[in-house]
Amino acid sequence: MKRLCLTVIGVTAPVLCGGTAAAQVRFDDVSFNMGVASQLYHGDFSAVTVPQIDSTERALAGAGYMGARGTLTLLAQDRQSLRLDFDAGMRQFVTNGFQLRNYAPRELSGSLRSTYTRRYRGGTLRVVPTVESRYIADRPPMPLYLPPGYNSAAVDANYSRAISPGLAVYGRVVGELKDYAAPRVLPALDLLDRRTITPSAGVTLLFRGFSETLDRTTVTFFAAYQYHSYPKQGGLGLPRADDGLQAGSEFTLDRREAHGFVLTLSGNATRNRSSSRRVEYNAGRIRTTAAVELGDDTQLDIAALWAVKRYIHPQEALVPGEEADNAASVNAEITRFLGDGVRAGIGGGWIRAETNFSGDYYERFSVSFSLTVNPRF
Amino acid sequence: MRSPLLLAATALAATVAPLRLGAQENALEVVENWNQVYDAAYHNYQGKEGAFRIVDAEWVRLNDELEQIRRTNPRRTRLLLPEIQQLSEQRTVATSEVRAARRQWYDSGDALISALDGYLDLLNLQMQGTPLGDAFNDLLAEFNRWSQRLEEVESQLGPRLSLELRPMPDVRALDTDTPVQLRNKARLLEEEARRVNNSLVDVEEEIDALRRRQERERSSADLQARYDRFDDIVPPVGDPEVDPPEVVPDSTGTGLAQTPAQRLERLETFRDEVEARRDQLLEQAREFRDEAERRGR
Repeated sequence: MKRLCLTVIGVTAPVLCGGTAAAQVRFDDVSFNMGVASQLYHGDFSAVTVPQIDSTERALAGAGYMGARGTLTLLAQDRQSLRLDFDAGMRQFVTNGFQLRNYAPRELSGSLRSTYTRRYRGGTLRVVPTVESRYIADRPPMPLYLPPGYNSAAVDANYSRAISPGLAVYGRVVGELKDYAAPRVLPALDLLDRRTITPSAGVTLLFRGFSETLDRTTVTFFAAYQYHSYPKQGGLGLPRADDGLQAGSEFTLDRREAHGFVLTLSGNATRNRSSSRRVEYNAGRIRTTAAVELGDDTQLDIAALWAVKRYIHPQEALVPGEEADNAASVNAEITRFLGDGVRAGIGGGWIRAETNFSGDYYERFSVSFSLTVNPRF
Repeated sequence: MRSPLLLAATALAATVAPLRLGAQENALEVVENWNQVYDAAYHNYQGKEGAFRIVDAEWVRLNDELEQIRRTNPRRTRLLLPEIQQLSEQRTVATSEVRAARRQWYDSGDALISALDGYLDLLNLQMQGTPLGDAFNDLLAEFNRWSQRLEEVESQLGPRLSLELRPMPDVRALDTDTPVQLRNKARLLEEEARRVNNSLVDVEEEIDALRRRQERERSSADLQARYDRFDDIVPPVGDPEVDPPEVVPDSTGTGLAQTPAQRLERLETFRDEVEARRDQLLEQAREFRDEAERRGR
């Protein structure tokens, strides 16, 4: 907790020091969002961190949510900038279909991230401290899977530099603490507490699109080493520690102005080795997002994910927080731009996660309607 | 733990290696490389700009002529119209070429300035640790040479945005002006107002394109934030992913340092200035016409 407090100070210190730049302080990209959703869950998936068990394999949930986010620009100069991103939200569920009782989970979420950017020796240095907190009350049993709440603090430092026009290299180190702050009745949540340090390096190629537009294409290749320490997992006084190697790439084709679409495709492969033999695995993920303009006032956003994991040794028990081996999801939303800074969206989504060794799974279908307002300051 | 740390160190070393190995030679090489790219881009821009000016001057001349003879010389008017049409097309192409060349020039200028900043910092550091003597003098000469180049490039680039109004035409009503002279002066002002108004079209187009982009990007970002807020699309599959950091475009040496939001703000301010100038010109022209009418009585 002390570390979290220190990081909070780290995030807010630049803000407090920005007093001299008061004249440049401004809000950007502020949005208020609210909506309703209906979700259908089914499956027989079990999770170590969800101790309640209900025999139902089908549950229905209705949710109302609201959130706000934005950026506070504290300093914007040619050679340096300081921005503070904030995000907060609340979601309230009503559920139906459980055998024991109908739960009413409530989620609260908030994050604060400051980004200090500075041109330094011909390159760009970025330092990004972040604090994040999620809280969930009345967490329901499976199959209504809701990720557990946590407090986290992270610092991301990266330096990138051009080595020729349109080609840059970067080096980056990210350190993160994640504390699931388990209540007394849910001690298993503490098993998820994690400390991670991730040095990575990569190369980015940038190609301009058509002249007089901001369209562009970027391709990034990167490699990372991840060291994870789980102080509450492991036996015989040896906490679990994982060494992961990850390599991947991300491709973004931005043709928003010329053809009305943006496509991002990324993929990575991970080789995870651990002090605990049972969590040694190889994994891969492919993720894609796309935004397509449908006429003057409508946009379709799609996000899809496919993830697969294969353990090196036969699995006999669930790994806390990593209970699923394969997962796929597709989410889409059609947004209608109603007027100056007002949008309405109708969306739907599907997600499925499953294990290899037991064949358990959970699946969620959802539909939602939301309204978003972007006030101008 | 030791081997992963070694791997991490190797990965980082690979990234920063070009900066460390023979720092001065490497930095000088980068500067010289960008210097060549910049010179080529600058000369290309000047060439395109020169070609545009020739076409533009002729286009303006013919338009002025058309304005004067439209009612009095139909035969010449018929000849002028296709000529102006053809020149308009040439002018559009030339405008587009100038913009593209200007963008390349600015981009290479940004990259050269970045490289020069780094190299001058390095020379400065080296000078601080070098005793007075020939070696120091060599470093000082090198420092002065590239400092001058930096000033020259910054001066050539000037204000980055070409969002500047031409000076207000110095047209005044004199006590000795006849009504005809006053009307001619009013026409001049109205013509200038028309030109100013025409320039609004480009600005409005760019504002619309940027605003549209900003709205769409914000919409996608808001949706992503909603997914992230409650980890809605994070299945419990494995360790967290490593996403590459957001590309900082100026780190790739291709400009784009200004965000779309900042660019939009500058354009909106400029549009307001242009509109105010147009109204000011028309107001002045109206006063001249009123004065001409008063003196004609």
